[in-house]
Amino acid sequence: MPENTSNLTFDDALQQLEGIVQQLESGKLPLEESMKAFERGVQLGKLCNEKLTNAEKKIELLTRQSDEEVSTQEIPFPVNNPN
Amino acid sequence: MSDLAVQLFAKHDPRTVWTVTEVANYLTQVVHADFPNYFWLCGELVLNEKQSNNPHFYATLRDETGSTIPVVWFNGTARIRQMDLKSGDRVFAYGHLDIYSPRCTLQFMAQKIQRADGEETLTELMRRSLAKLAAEGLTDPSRKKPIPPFPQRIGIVTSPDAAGYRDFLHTCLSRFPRLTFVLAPSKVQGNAAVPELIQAVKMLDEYGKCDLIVVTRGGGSITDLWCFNDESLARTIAAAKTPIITAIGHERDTTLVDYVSALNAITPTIAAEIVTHNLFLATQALESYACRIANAMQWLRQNRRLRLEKALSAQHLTHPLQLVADRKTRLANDELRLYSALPHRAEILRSTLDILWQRLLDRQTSDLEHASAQLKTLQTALRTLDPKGVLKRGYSILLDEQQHAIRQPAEAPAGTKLTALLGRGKLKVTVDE
Repeated sequence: MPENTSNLTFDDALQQLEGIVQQLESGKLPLEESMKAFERGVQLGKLCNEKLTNAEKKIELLTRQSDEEVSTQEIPFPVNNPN
Repeated sequence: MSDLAVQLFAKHDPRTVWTVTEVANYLTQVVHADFPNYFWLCGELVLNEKQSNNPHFYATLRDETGSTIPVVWFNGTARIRQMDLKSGDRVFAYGHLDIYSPRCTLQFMAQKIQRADGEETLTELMRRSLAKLAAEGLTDPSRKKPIPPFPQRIGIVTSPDAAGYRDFLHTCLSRFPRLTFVLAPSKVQGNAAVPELIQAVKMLDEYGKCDLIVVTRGGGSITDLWCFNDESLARTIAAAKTPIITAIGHERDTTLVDYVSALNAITPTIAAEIVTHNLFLATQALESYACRIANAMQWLRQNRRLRLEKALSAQHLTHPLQLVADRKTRLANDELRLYSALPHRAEILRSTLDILWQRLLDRQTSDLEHASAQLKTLQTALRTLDPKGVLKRGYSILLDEQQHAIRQPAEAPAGTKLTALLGRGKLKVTVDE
C-alpha cells in the first residue's frame, strides 16, 4: 500500500511527485515498484490538484453588519469587456 | 536562501562541477524568481569618479551601514544631469534586481531615479509623510510580509466600477480558474475615498480569511490617485496582518501606499500575474507530471509486454513437439552415420593391412635376391680359392707324412718320402736331392 499522503504539504507532495516522475522515466525500477510508484504518483497528483483547486470560483461581497460582525454574500462576476 | 533557491539547488548533484556561466545563470534565475517585480530602493547616490558621456547611467547606492549596490539606468545620464544629482544626494530608485552575468554581480536596474526630496514627482506633503514613515521604519524591506505562493482567497479593496477591478479578476482567472475573491468595495478616487479605503482594508484584515489583500485601481490623474498618498491609509496598510499588494494606476504612478505595502505591483494586471504566478506554474507542472508518469508507465508496460511476447513466441514454447521431432531426426541421422561409417572403416583398415603386407613381401623378395647374388659371388670366389682347381690345371702339391704342404726345399731333405697331390689321384714320391 502506498504511504499516506493526506498529511503532506503541497510543496512536499509536489517534490515527491517530481521524484517519482524522474524515477519512472529512468526506467530502472522493477515493474512491481513502478506500479507502486505510479499509484503513489497519481495519488500525489490528485492531492496536489485538490490542494490547488480547493477554492471555488466565486466573488463574495464583504459587508459590515455591526462593529463586531461582518458577513459575506456571493455576487456575480463583472463582464470582462463592457466595450 | 529562498525556498525556490533551496529547491533549485537540491535538484543538483553535489558532485556536479559548475562553470562560472552556469553559476551566473543560476543566480539570475534565483534573483528573477525571488524578486519578480519592481520596487523602490532608497539610498545615497555615489557617482562614479569618471562619469563618461555614456548615455547609460552607472552609479552606486549606499546606505548608512555602508552597504552598496551598483545601479544602472539605461539612457539615464541626461535625466541625472537635468536633476543635477550629485554624490551624497538621497534618492529613490525604482526598478528591479538583476545579475550582470559577465561579472556575476548583482545590480539594480533602475527605471527611474528621483531625489528623495524632489518636488517634481513627490509633492511636499507626500515627501513629509514618506520621510515620517521611513523614519519610523515603516518602509523597511524587512517589514514587508512574504506573499503566500498559493493563495486561495484573495481580498480586493477597490471600486466594483474601477477598470483595475475587472483587469485584475480576469487576469487571475485566465491563469488559474478556481479562486475565491472577497471584495471590500470602496471609492478609489477623491478625498472621500480615504476613510472608505481605510475601512475596507481594516475590514478585510480583521475578517482574516484572505491569504492576501490587493488594493488596486486603474490609471488616472495625480488628483485622481491622491487618496493613495494619505498617511493614515498608508499606516493602516503598514499595520495590516494580512500581506497587502498595492497596484495603483500605471507604471509612472507611485503613491505613498506603494512604499509601505508588502509588494508594489505596477498595474492591476501585473498584480494578478504575481498573485497567480506560483499557482499557474504549479498547475502546469502538475499537468506535465501527470502526463509524464502516464507516459513512463505506458512505456514500462509496453516494454515488458514486448519482452513477454518475444519470450512467449520462442519455438520451444509455441511448438514443444517440434523439439522432440528435432531430436528424433538428429538421432536417426547419427545412427545412419554410425552404420555407414563401420564398413568404410573396415575397408580402410583392410587396405592399410594390404599395403603393409605388400611392403613386407617386397622387402623379403629383394632381401632374398640380394642374398642369392651375394652367394653366387661368394661361390665364385670360393671356387677360385679351391686348391683342387689349381691341381686340375696341372699343378700339384707336395705333402709330407704329417700332411703339411712343402713350400721350400729345406722342408724336404733328400730321401724324404712325400705324397704329391695331382688333379686326379696322388703319387708316392721320394726326394732325390
